[in-house]
Amino acid sequence: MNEFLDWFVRTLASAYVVYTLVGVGNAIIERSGVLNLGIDGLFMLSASLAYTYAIQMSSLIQTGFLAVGISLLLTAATTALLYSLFMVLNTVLPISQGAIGLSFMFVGYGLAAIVGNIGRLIFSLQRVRIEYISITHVSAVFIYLTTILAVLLAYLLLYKYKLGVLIRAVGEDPRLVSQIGVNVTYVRLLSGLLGGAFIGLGGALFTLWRVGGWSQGQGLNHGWLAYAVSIAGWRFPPLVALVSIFFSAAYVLLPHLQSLGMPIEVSTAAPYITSIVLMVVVSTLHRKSRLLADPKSLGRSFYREEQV
Amino acid sequence: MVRKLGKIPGGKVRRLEMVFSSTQPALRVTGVTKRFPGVLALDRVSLDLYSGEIHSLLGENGSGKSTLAKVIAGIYVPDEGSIEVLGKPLKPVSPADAINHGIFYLPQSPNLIDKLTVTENVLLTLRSYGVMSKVKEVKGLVIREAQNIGSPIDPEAEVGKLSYTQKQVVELMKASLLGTRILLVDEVTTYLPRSVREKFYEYLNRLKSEGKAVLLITHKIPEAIEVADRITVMRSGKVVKTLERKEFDIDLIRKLMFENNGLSAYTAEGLSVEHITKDEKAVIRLEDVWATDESGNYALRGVRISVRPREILGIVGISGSGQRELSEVLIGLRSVERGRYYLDGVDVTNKGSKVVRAAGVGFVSEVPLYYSLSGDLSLTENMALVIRDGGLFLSLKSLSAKTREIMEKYGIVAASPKTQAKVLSGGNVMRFVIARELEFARKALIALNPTRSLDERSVLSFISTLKKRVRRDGLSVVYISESLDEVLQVSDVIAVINNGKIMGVYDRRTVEREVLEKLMVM
Repeated sequence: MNEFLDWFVRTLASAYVVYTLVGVGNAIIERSGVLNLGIDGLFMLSASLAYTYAIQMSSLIQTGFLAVGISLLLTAATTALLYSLFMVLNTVLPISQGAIGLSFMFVGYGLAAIVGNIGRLIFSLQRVRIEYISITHVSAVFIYLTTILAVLLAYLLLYKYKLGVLIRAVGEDPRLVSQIGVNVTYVRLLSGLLGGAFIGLGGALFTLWRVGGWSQGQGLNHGWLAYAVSIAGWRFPPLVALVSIFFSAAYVLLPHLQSLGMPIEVSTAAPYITSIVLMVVVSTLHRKSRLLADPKSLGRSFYREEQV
Repeated sequence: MVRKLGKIPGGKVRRLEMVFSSTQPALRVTGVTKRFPGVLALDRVSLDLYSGEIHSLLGENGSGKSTLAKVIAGIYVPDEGSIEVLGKPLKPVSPADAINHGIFYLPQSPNLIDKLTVTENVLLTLRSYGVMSKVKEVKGLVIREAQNIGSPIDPEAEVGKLSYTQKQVVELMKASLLGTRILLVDEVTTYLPRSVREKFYEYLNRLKSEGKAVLLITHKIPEAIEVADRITVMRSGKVVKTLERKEFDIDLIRKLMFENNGLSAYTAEGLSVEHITKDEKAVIRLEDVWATDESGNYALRGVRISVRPREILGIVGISGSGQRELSEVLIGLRSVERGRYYLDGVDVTNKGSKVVRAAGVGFVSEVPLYYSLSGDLSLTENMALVIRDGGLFLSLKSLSAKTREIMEKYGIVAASPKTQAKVLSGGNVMRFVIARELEFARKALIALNPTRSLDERSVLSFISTLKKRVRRDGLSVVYISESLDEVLQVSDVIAVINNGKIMGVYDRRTVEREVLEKLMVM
């Protein structure tokens, strides 16, 4: 029984936390009308950042668990800043969101490799040990509860506070909203900070908790998997947290079909195939509620052409 | 100058009320010029607006009234000229600047986000509430303000589900809560039925008695005379004259508005279609058609229309009542969820635009570069998109000649048929699409706000050509427009669309304007 619980926490529960946090972060970003095509690169970068921060912090601070905790927060903050830049560029440049998003994705991939290798270099010089977050049930329960609280926080901010009203309004019609005196760039910057922090936290937990180490290419494609979770949850935090259960289970369990005789090519591709199928199914469902509808201006570039 | 600062109990909104000596204008516009590519929209315009007055800005479509209002509201930045509020220069580079100076712009189509609630929409504009204020906090304020205006509204209602009148009430709430001193009202009353309009005037008069300044923009002379203290007439981007109340005279104003334009007001008399044969079979027939918009909500709810040969069916409604979706269904660009679409008795439901267009149906829309043209292609190539004779081997040379002929006939200003469509001015793009579709249509024409970017002269020439085609070639036309004047002028039969439903179908000769207006905003 204990073995099963260990396995469950190590694989399923940790996957759930990562995909949920990143999925909710993406919801906050895209509710403001910016297509988050940078997600995979920036997720991968945050996974590397967490590793390098943890190495550096562990060499500075003797208490290993404090060093890792600070690294989590630093990664979240750095990703939040990167995302605020991403959001500002997407708002002020007269360039398609597709081009900016993909640029960030590739830059993210590149920086992830550099940042991770810097971490390795520090490691080889200083030989510090990272106190990765253990998989004890206590830590799992704690992280779990924190995740649920984070989802709740995202929901409240998006739907009960002016911040969320602004984010959703900007996602609907940025031109109109700017005509009534709202600074669209500022609102999107805020949504980048908030959403970026969620994504950064997810990336950091991916490295410091789920994997417990870093290797070249770590985190690749997991940003996209989280993106699929986000879309399937209609960019509505509580629903994202709900569908994330099914997606995480599929992502984690399907590759195991190999041991039942499924060809490795199929079992490796299974999570992606599943996410495509699930997304198609979900997107055909009719959405009655205004809270679930897609942001009307998602992906459209906004710049004030009339103000010449 | 006396300054009163007051707080409403429980609210963070600052109310700023000022009483001025009548010599200093609340708003002074001096020599404002605004150019758009190819157009001089405002030509050294000057205007004084005093506190405690309702000042009407009168002029025909395209005379620059709205542009002036948008300059004052910070939506457009003027090329030249200055604006002063209470003697202090205001350089509005953004709408927020203007709002901070107590200027509120009330546009014809409400500046509201449909998917948000009334409270959320109001909260959006209140700058004294920071990003971490709760939506709940302003709910009470909204309820109180709605009562104050005299039109109770559910603060939790989704704005997209409100009527046009209710939406404008929400706008007025915003204006009032922002502590507005100068209210710019842009053609808001145009669509309101008489009873609602009177209530609105009452409200404006109340603002006036509170010492606020109102700039009422309209193209309707009687409205201006009825409610304004002073009238400024604009024509072709210039101020023609400002009249005091004792100088008001309908003939004088009409002369000031239209003189030298060669237009005898609006009517294109003598072009009306004489006989509609009752027993002729419908060319276009929609039966109980339901269709959704992009977000999956029903934009059309059981639409039933039929158009006979030699008949123009005018469909009028407030912007966003389902017109765009209806036109897309008619040209085959939007799929129908329920109901049938017959073209000449043949079922073409969900057969796509290829089938519909092959049957000889033309389409003119308000956004030609979205529906009808490729901006990067030349005019000739854009002609080739619809002309089918010759198949893949059609001769560009003969098409080019045809394009040149059309350019001359319809007065399209372009360097040559080789010119890229996107280089043309908005009006010329529209004229080109109209020309092409009128030449192309053999059976029917679908028009969606076709005159939006046209000047008065082009509008008249379009309408008379359209009527000629209808009379001579038996074309059937579905003419969808937001302008009741235009629909009344063009149509044989008039239908009102509201919230995706056809509210009624009337004979042009017998229907009363008031009836249609009521149905539009119900």
